[in-house]
Amino acid sequence: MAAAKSKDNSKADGAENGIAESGVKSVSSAKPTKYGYFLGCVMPVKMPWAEKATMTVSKHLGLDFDYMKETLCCVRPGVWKAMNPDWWLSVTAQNLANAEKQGITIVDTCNGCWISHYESLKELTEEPEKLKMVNEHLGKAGMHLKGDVKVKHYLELLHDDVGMEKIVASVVRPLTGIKVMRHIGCHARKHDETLPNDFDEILRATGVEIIDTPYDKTCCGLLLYFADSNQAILERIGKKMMTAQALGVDAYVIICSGCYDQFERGVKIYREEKGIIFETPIIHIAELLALAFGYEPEDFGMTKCRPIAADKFIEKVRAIAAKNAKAAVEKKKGGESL
Amino acid sequence: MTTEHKYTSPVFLVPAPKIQKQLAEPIKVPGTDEKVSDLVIVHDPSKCTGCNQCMIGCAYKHYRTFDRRFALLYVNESPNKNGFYVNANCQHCVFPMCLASCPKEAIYKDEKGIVRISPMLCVGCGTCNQACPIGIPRLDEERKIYVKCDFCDGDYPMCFQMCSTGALKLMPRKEAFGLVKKLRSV
Repeated sequence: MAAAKSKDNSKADGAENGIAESGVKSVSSAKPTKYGYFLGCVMPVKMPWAEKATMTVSKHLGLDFDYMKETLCCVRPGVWKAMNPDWWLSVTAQNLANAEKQGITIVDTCNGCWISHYESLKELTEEPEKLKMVNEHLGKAGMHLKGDVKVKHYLELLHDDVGMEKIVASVVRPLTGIKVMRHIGCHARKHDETLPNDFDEILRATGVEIIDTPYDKTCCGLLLYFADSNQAILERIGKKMMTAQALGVDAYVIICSGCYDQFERGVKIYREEKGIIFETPIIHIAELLALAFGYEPEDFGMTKCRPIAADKFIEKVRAIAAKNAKAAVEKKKGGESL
Repeated sequence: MTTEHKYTSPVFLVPAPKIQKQLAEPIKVPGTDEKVSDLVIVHDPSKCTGCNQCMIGCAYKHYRTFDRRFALLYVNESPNKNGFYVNANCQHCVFPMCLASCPKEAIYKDEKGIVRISPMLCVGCGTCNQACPIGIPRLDEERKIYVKCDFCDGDYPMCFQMCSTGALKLMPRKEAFGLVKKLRSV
């Protein structure tokens, strides 16, 4: 047991040292950070390719990254906070208490999960009377929360903890020539432009070209779907996907699983009720990174379980890779002949 | 007192602005006998994504439904600019036009400076809606009276709590004037 523990630690230390040695980011704390991936509800059901790609990319970057155990629903504040803030705090605090017990930093790829964990932790650490109320509820389930836990968005993890230099250095198959539109989601914009800028920076590191449109900022319409399904589909997803179709971009890149859920719903409704078929595949940022890091689409199931097939996109990526490889060989030959 | 929380990244190191959760005593308007609420909600369209969570939260708070048509503030896409969302929410004015125009004197300013419509006195004539520069009071079709924002009775406004991007800001009036000037100049 002790041997296994020391092996784990050394592995994690190695990962941390790897980051420090590359000069990307020096980690001051002696204890390596253990990340617990909070999957949320949509990711394992509708986006198995994104889940696998996220795990693959995180391991590739040398992080001590594994699934968070004993998770419950994040309890999205968009619905539950309006209904009863105390319920919302008490239920979401169970995830925080579990993470605290496991000694991990929670990592969320879904904006809904992230904002729920982030805001509840903020309220609980800033307002002791709320923490007391929550602990009374948690106590009945044999749990306790001190508030000594960290919550991170996956973009923060990539941009700040791993660092851009390491990401850029890991790109072996630049996706030059691929044009994408991107949608980061509302909650990631809550505090300032840090996360949207990180998103763009990471996307550019893979070599893709980002196409700006007026609808980049527009919400996916997930919550609006409960209130006005027509408007949520026509005025939100419809406008975004129509723009992507008109511009002929190769992919629509997203990060948030909640947004993906709405994109998928919108695309299916357009296809089944209106006979309009969108052809722009919706790709998760982790998939782009995995491709850029040299993984094959089959390694993370990119061809399966998608409402819009990514075959054309994959073909283009392979064609670009082949072209780049040929150019590299010719360059090498030219260098040798000189 | 500010409690330092446990987040590490630059996003979290910025301390969240401390906002009082209950409206304080209304502030006096210099040179008049008027008083006005000390806080006001300002909308920053450059941050708004049109998610409508504010409207849904408002509808739930006041009518226990997620149907956004019951909301007391309004967010819509600008007819002049694609993907740009504009909002109309009550400012609880210093000199409310709705109050001045009501023929039944059903509109009044309470002790916190919140401009309210008395459901017992309102006859649903709609003059307040016509008089308000941004048409805030709306018809409650079931009760046949006009209704408007009540600032969640001086509690933390639900629209502000629900805003998913931070486009709705709750701030003292003086600061709000400064922000609105800045937003207009942009």
